[in-house]
Amino acid sequence: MQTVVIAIATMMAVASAVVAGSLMVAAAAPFDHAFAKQRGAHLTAQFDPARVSTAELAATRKLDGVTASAGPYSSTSFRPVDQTGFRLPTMTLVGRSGADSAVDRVEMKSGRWVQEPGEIVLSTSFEGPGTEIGSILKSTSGTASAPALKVVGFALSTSKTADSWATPAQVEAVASQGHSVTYQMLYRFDSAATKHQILADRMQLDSVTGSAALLGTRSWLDTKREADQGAAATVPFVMAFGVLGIVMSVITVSSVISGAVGVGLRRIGILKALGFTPREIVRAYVAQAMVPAVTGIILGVLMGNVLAVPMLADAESV
Amino acid sequence: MHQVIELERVAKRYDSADTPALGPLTLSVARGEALAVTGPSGSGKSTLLNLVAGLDKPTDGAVIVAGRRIDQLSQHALATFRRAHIGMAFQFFNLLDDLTVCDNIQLPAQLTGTRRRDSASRAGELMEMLGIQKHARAYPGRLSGGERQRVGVARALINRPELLLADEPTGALDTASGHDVRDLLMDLHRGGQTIVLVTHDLSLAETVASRTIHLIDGHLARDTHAQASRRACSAPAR
Repeated sequence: MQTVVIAIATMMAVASAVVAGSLMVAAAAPFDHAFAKQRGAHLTAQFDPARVSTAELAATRKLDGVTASAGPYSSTSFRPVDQTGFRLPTMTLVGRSGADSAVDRVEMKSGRWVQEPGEIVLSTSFEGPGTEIGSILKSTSGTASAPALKVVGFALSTSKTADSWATPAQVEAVASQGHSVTYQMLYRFDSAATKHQILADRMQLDSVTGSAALLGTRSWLDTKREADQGAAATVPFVMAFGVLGIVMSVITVSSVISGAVGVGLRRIGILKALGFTPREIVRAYVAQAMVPAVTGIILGVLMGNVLAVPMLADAESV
Repeated sequence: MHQVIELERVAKRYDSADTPALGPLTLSVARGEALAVTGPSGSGKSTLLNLVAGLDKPTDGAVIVAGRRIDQLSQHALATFRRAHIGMAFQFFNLLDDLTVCDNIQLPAQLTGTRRRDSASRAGELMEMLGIQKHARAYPGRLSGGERQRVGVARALINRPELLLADEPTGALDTASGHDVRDLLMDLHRGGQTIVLVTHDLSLAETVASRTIHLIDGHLARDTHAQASRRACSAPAR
């Protein structure tokens, strides 16, 4: 009976500690974890197609300090209307044939990626009434020829490189309704930890494409600052929950151990009187208490990880 | 006569105490003797037993058991010595509840490296002698107090120790079970077993022991050898 109690108590305590510890780690820097996981873009740059060629953009990939890049993706801005006639906020639409990429591995949260023109994937921040999977958005209001876009999925870009994604051809079709098209390039640099480093990286791009071609950039530091401000209110609570979980685990394990030692002391006294050497007593005690404890720890680590995965997924969305 | 126990000016003082818990005490116990140690609580009875068992070390003096000076042995050597030469029976039996009666009895034999078959045979012999063979596969929790004490005594005797130490062996038993254990100890004494019996029960001491020492405040207050004739008359027939 004691063996089972030790195993179960240890398992539950370790599982709680793993979940709590994982939450604390995730909550300590949710943006950084998600950014690293998606290989987020240090710099998102918009280029004027009229002033830069794709060859010139390709040349930017080989600049000193560029460790990875993606694009050029055709990009435009538009303000879609849902089936009820409600106008959604202006959103950036980027043409990408897949969610995966060397930079900014967009994570599907539901549905699937676009496969053909007429489909659109929205950022999870646009999920709500009127924009469910299967619903239809019109690219502009009041125009009979406006392309209809069927929502096929919701995705998350930690770098916030776009609000929505469609096939490259679809972006061209939307842009033909009176919106301008730009080229979007995504870069990762070996030095991008400070504002000055990002600025130096941007100046390198300027030197290849010319400043007139570079319409605008967005630094990952700005995106991080916004994300951290958004998470600031919840982080203390998550951290407190994590600390509480670990404290409870320590108390539980301590109680189990002190209980086992209490019972064990009587047993140790008996074994000593019977002629067990100190080493034999340790061996007997280890067999009695450590085997279920180690079993509990192993099961607890497994259970903790299983429980922590969905929680961490949520934390990374912060 | 060969001495099984020799205490030479043995004293035991605990850290915080002003006066020693025991001694200095000089005492010899001969082979085959049944010594009862009596005295009020705190008189040093348990301290004396622990020193003889090697569970505690004296502050001064020498403790010689079965010809070995045990107060100078290491913990490991002491444990090895204890399992071979000393059997102990306790007031609250101290059986391991998760082992069967038979396994409890065989435990000390396994420590000495006795083959399982031999220890099982010896355990069977003891269980038959003590009338508990029908409980061989039972767990201690299902036995009466008297039966549990018999198991404790069987366990103490499994390695044929030169010395049996019994600490208040009837202290936790009802009258009938107490008489059972008393008779058992008398039988063992008759069979030549050297016994040191610590007890509050003067009638038990008088019935079982061939000699009684009375301790007061750690000192020997009285040392009485029972007359052989009285013992012979008063010993109940079994």
